[in-house]
Amino acid sequence: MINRLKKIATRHGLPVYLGVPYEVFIRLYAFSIFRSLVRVFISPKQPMRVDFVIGSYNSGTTIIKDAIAAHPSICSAPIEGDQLSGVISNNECGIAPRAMMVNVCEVVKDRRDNSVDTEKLISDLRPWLVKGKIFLEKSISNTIRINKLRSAFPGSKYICVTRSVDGVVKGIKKRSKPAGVLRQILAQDAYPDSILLKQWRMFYSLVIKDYQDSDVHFVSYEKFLESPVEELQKIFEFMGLDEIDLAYSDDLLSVGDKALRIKGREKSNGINYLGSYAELLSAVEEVEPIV
Amino acid sequence: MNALCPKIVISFDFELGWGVLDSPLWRKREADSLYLDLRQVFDHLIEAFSESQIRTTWAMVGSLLAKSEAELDLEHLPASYRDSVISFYRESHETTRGGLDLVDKLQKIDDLVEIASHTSTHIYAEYPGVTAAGYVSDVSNSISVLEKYFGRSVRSLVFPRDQARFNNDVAVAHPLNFRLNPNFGKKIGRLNRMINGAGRFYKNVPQSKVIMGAHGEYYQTGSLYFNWSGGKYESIKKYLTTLQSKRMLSEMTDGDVYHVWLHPFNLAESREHLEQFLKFIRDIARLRDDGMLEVVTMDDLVGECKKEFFFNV
Repeated sequence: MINRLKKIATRHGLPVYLGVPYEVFIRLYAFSIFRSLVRVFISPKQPMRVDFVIGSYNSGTTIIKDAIAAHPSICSAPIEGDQLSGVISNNECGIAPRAMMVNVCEVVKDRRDNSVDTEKLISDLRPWLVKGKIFLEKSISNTIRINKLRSAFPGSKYICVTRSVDGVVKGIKKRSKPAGVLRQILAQDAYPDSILLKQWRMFYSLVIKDYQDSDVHFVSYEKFLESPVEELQKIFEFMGLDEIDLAYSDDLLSVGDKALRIKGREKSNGINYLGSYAELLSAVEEVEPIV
Repeated sequence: MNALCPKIVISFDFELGWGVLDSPLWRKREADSLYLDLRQVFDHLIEAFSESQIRTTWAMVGSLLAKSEAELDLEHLPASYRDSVISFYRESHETTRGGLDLVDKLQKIDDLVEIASHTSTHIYAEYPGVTAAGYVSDVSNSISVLEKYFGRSVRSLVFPRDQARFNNDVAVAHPLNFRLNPNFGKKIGRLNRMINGAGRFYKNVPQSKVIMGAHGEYYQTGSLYFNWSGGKYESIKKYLTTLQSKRMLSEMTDGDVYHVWLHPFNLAESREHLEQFLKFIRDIARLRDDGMLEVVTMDDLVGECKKEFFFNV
């Protein structure tokens, strides 16, 4: 139990006596009633810009978001924006954690609905916004809605994290299980590879479809593990951020005065990096189309 | 089709006496002229759908098309069910077991109809002795009979009695669109049933969820069973069906999908029931004409979702 609390606190970079209440606050904030109560006490703020980290589930979006958010010009929420606001949905519908694709019609509806209530979203995220800083939002569901985010947040940038299909499929299977009616339908306690393969293809083919050279930057998770400093420099440059001291040794990535532990370098062994549009396109074409 | 416009799917379980062939019910219904009266009901339905240009899905028991006992393929069935089929076929009236005349009527609105499978003999998954292989054979038989007769692909299936135990086995052979009961997978005790029943007075019906399966198949949950005939609480059920269908139409918002399902023979049980359904059809046609909703088949609904992901990168 104590270890678990310590882990929670570490995740937020806080001591246990602050980290645990903060976690409780975040969990409560996922409820709209609590949000509306809290909002009374927090004044609204306007970030300089909103940028997005997108990609498939389990593709390394969290670690890359955390690394970017360590830059002093960036602020971010501790969890996905689609959990902290009712404006955007995670499309998992309570039955498909890390497998929104099974809710096909919800995904299609989300893509075709062109409206995002920008004001409400910004208002919901106010505890984590800092005036004059770029707000970095990371929700996997944003991967399917790049075009409408472009309209809602003109000038926004998209950091698309890619990872090999095998790594993504294995990771999701390890961390998530189907629930409710989906579990009954599949008649098993684990996601079949077929669904996760299709989902990987869906995410990245939609990114390819919505791609614009000017505002989408690809970063391969495996390449990031291999050379985090170089990859982070490229991201900062793409986002137009000031140069900052970066260093990496003994699994520790230093970004200015902040440090992050980056493990799993061995995951990059023998992997073809998907760090560009062309590499991603070729990988997507290799995976069987959805039928 | 507009992905955001609210949608209604209407599906029929078209089975005549096949739905209860292993019980004495078909004899009672036959004696009450229910299946005979259904012929007239069909005329009203066809007229209503034709006038309103409403698209519907008809999940047919394949054996409704059999012209003789020799055409029935029963080898895959458990012996007791096979015996029931044979005695049903031999002892029932043509209007109880045969649907060719009704299919002729249905073909008048051919372009508005999706033909779906309801298996070949209405074998249900919980029937003692049914195997996955036997069940799949029954589905395969129905698909081949229906496709041959209608000259087009069968893309949807309704599990008899909503029993979907062999869904994955069927999906491996036939990755179709399957309709599921809204309570599929839920263990509902008596208390919960009472609470759910009470909830029907003040809550809207559940929206239809579309869920992708492991083998390329899709599942669509039902929303409203449009039937109040029979049983102890007929007047309450009638009130609730009226209330819920009205509430469903009035509370529809962008992106909602509702799936209404029924058995045509239920509409032959009372004139009032038929009138109520025809009024429902007129209501949705009016709302459709006003751009408030779209009426689609099971296949239309999934086809539209699939299209979004079918592009070549």
